[in-house]
Order: sequence, then structure tokens, then C-alpha cells
Amino acid sequence: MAELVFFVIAAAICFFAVLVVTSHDIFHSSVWLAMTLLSVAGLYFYLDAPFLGVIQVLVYVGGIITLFVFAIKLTAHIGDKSIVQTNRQTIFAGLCCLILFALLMNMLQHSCHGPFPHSEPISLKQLGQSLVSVYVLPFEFISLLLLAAMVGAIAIGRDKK
Amino acid sequence: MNLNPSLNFISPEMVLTLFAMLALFGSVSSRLKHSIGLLSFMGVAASAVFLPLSFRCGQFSFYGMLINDPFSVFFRSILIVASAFTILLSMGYSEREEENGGEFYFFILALTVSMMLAVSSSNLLMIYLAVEAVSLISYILAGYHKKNPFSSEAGVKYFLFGAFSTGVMLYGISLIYGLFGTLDLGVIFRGLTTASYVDPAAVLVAALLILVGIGFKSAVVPFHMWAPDVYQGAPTPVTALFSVGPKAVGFALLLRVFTFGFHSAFTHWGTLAGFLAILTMTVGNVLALRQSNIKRILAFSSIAHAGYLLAGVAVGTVAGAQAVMYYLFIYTLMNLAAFGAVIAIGNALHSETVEDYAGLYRQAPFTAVILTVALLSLAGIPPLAGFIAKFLLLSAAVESDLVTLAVAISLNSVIALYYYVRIVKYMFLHEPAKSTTMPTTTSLSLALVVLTIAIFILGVWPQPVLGWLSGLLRLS
Repeated sequence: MAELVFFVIAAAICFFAVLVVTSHDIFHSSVWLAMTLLSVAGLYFYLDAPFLGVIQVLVYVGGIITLFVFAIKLTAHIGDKSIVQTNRQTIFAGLCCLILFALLMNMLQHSCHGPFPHSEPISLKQLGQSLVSVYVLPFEFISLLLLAAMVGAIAIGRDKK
Repeated sequence: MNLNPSLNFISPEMVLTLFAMLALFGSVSSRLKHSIGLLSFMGVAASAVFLPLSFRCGQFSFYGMLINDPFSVFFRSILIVASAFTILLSMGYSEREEENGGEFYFFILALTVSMMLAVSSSNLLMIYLAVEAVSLISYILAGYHKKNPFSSEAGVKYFLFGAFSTGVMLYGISLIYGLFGTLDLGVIFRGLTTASYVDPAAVLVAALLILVGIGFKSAVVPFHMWAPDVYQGAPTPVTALFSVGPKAVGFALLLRVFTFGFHSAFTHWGTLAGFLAILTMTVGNVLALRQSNIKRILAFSSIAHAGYLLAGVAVGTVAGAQAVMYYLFIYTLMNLAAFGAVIAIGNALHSETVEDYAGLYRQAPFTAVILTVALLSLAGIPPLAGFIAKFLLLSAAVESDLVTLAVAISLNSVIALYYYVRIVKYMFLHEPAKSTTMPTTTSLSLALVVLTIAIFILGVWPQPVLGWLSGLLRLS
């Protein structure tokens, strides 16, 4: 039964992901992407990581997809015509993907050791503490990254004088 | 855990971040705006003062996120040098949009901080974050000239390729986490040799995916497609930094993660790296032959040099690592000198076409001679520094019986000589089309003179740097 839930969620992720890259309307693509990310959140809940699931919904679906929709609606001429999602290199790219897929399948067959031992769910307190101890440097460094991204967005986006 | 030693270790990065903030705040004031370049240069100099203090710290800091090993010491030093010269070049770059003065230096300093953290990371999470920060700031800097369509194209292209290759790398990192349950490189490498539950084939797939991300940063064929367009479109001082900084990051990570890390799971790493090295240097050099834009020529030349460096990585011995590190240092000096001369010429001619360089010797003998020295050093002509660097690479390859690699490097050096000398020929043997005067900037001239003297001195007296380097590597 539990496995069935997993396969349903996995199938939903694949289905929506294919729609993202085949849809001819960029707005539709972003909606399908939202569905893909929601399904991934479902996977997190299924795997007993509710905090990650909630964050996934809040950040990706609530934040990033909303940003995508704004960007599409505010940018002229990209929301209103059908877009082409393929180019001349489709066959070559497909070949590369097939090779990667074969490699990954091969790897999964050889190094799957059944389910991992069920560990205790990590509490929010532990998460918070690791953020200011083990992960303090990455945590602080992200501030610099975000600041640079923000200043960069303003520098690139502001009107030409 | 007491974090004070860790803070000592990143004191150079903290000083740089502080000055980056000052540069950002300074750009708001119209009076301070014109001295931000100088302020940033002082920031890099102050940061360099803290470097020796940092080198004396313990091996690990921040719970094993950062490592103080020979690679981190040497590559951080290279990055500080590259950043200092880039700021000097930027101060003499006339096409920079003046109204954006402060942010430009903020990005250069923030990029330096990210690169320095990237070369000293020993945790895949930190590597990913730092490489991502380097990429993100690079996209912004590449597209910095909004009025120039080439610059915008460069920014968008770099972003699209970069986002994809970082995604692939992140996937590889996630596989590693799945296999080992940790992102700490030390634990992973120990696990490779001791843990029986880890399948080497799986590690190989993950390592290959990580290689895509690192190969992209160092412009190794087949992940080089972005380099010519980005190098051409980006503002020239930024191109100068791109051609040396991210390459240093890429090779520091290649050495730490592959040559002295995954090699036990990745038995054919040397063969693969050797194959990629020959491919990279040949593609870079052959494609450079047909270019007429100097920045594109230097872009393909930098791809070719990535090939030479990769050959040193393929050797896989300590001598190979030493050759790579020394080559990267010399490459940094000569590439910055070449781009500095291109900036000086561009300020006067407003052109980057080699044909327009005709007769430059008559109008600007100083710049023409410096560009010639830089190009001949890139070609590996004695007695310039590039010769010793290439000689070390060749001898490291021959010592390990990798004769094919050594032959490939030699043949490629001959091809490369053609397009380097072609530029020199235009400058010295052709008649000038029109007469122009060369405006000179103190900072740019200073940078060029220092770089040229360094190329000459290290060509005949490389012992100080080499001695330092072998001392570092013996400690490891």
C-alpha cells in the first residue's frame, strides 16, 4: 500500500514534468511546473520530512512560481505566442539523455540496498541549531550571494540613461 | 566549538566583504564615486595582509566546511593577485559606464570572496554554494554593458549554460549524499576506501556529473561553448578576471576532488583527463586560428591553456599538481598583461579587431611591446615565464611516461605560436591605417609594467615561487 502511494506520486512528478517541457504556452509551462513541485512536496511528506515539504510548497510554489508568473505577464511578447521547445539539436540532446538514463539505471540496479533504516525524524530545534553551528558559514555566505543577486538585478534591470 | 580560529582563517574574505560593502555604500555618494576603484584596491591589499595569518590556522575550520591545504593557500593567493590587477585594469578602462561605478567594484570584490571560499571548501555543500555565487556574479558582470548587445548576449548565454551545468553538478552532489550520507569530502574519501557498501560504479556516475559543473567553470572542451561569446561581450577587465579566476577555482577543485580524492573509485580518471586535455588544447588552438577579434583569440587561447593545465591534472602526481599550480600562477600574470594591453589599445582605437592593430608599434611602442611580451610568454617562448611553466608541465608528463600528452602539448604550442605571432606581426610590420594618440592611465600603466617585469623575472628566476610551492606540497 505504502509503495503504491510512492508510485502514484512518482508518476505524477514525471507526468507534470513532461508537460512542462512540451507545452507551447510559457504560462501553461509554469503552471505545470508548479504542479511538478507540489508533487515533489508530496514525496517529502511521504518520506516523513514534513518540514521540507512545507518549505517546498512555501518557497517554490508560493514564491518562485508566483515570480515566474509575474515575469511572464510583465515581459512583453513572451506570454502571448506559442513557443518552440525544441531546436536542431533535439536528437543529439536526446541521445545524451538516453546515455545518462542508462548510466543511472545501471547504477540504481547495482547499488540499491533496499530501504534505508528508518531514522528518527529531525526536530525543528535540531534544524535550527545546526543552521547556526555546523552550517553557519554556508548560512552566512548565502546572505552575500543574495545581496549580490539583488544588487545585480537592480543594476541590470534599471533603465538606460 | 570555539569559532575564533575559524574566523581567523577567513579574515581575508571578511576584509574583502567589508570593503565590498563600503564600495556599495560609496556608490551612493556622488563625491566618493570616483575613488571607489582606489578604495577597492586598498581592500584587496588589506586582505592580502591577512592572508599569512590565515595560512597559519589549523587544517579545518567551520566544522570542516573549509580546509587549509596547499591548494587553498596557493589558489587563494593567486585569486588575490588576480583581483588586485583586475581592479587596476578596471580603473583604466574608459568604456565602463561611469554612473555604475560603485556596484562594479562591489561585484568584483564579492566575486573574489566567492572564488576564495570555493578554492578552500572541503564540503560539497560549500563547494556548490561558492561555485553558484561565482556563477551568479559572473552572469551579472558579463551582461554589465547594457548598451552593448554583445554584452547582453554574453550575460544571457552564460546564464543559460551556467544554470544547466550547475543543475547537473547539483544532481551529482545529491547522488553522493545518497551514497555516503554526508557531504564532507574527508569522510567521503575515507569511505571510498573503507566502506564496503558503496558501489564504485555509482560513485563514478556521480563524479562524472560533478565534473560537468567544474569543467564548465574552467572552460574545458566539451563544456567550452560559452567562453568565446562571453569573453567577447563582457567588459574587458571582467573578461580578464573570467579568464583566470573561475579557471583557478575549477582547477583547485579538480585537484582536490578528483586527482587527490575520487581517484580510488575512478581508476580511469588519468586517462579521461588526458583525453579531455588533448581535446581541449587542440580545439582551442585550431579554432583560435580563424578569429580576428582579439578578445575571441584570447578566449580560445584560454581554452587551449585549460587543456595544458588539464594535462598536468591528468599526470596525477605531486609533480603534476605542482606544475598545474605554477602554470596557473604564470598564466594569471601573462593573461592579465595581455588583457591590460587590449584595454589600453581599446581606449585609443575603440576596436578589438586584429587588423586595426596595424602599425601600433609606431603609435604606442610601450603598449605594443607589453602585448608582445605577454603573447610570446603565452606561446611559451624562452626566456619568458611561460616557458618555464610549460617546461614543468612537459617534464611532469614525461616523468610519468605520458609521452602522448607531452607530444600533444608540444604540437599545440607550435599551432598556438601562429596566431600569437600574427598579432605581433600586425603591430610591428604593418603600416598604420590612421594615426591615433594613446591616452594613458596611471593605474593601467602601473599594472602593465608590474606584470611585464614579473613575466621577465619569473622567466629567468622562478626559484622563489617554485620553492614556496614545493614547500607547501611537501607539507601535505
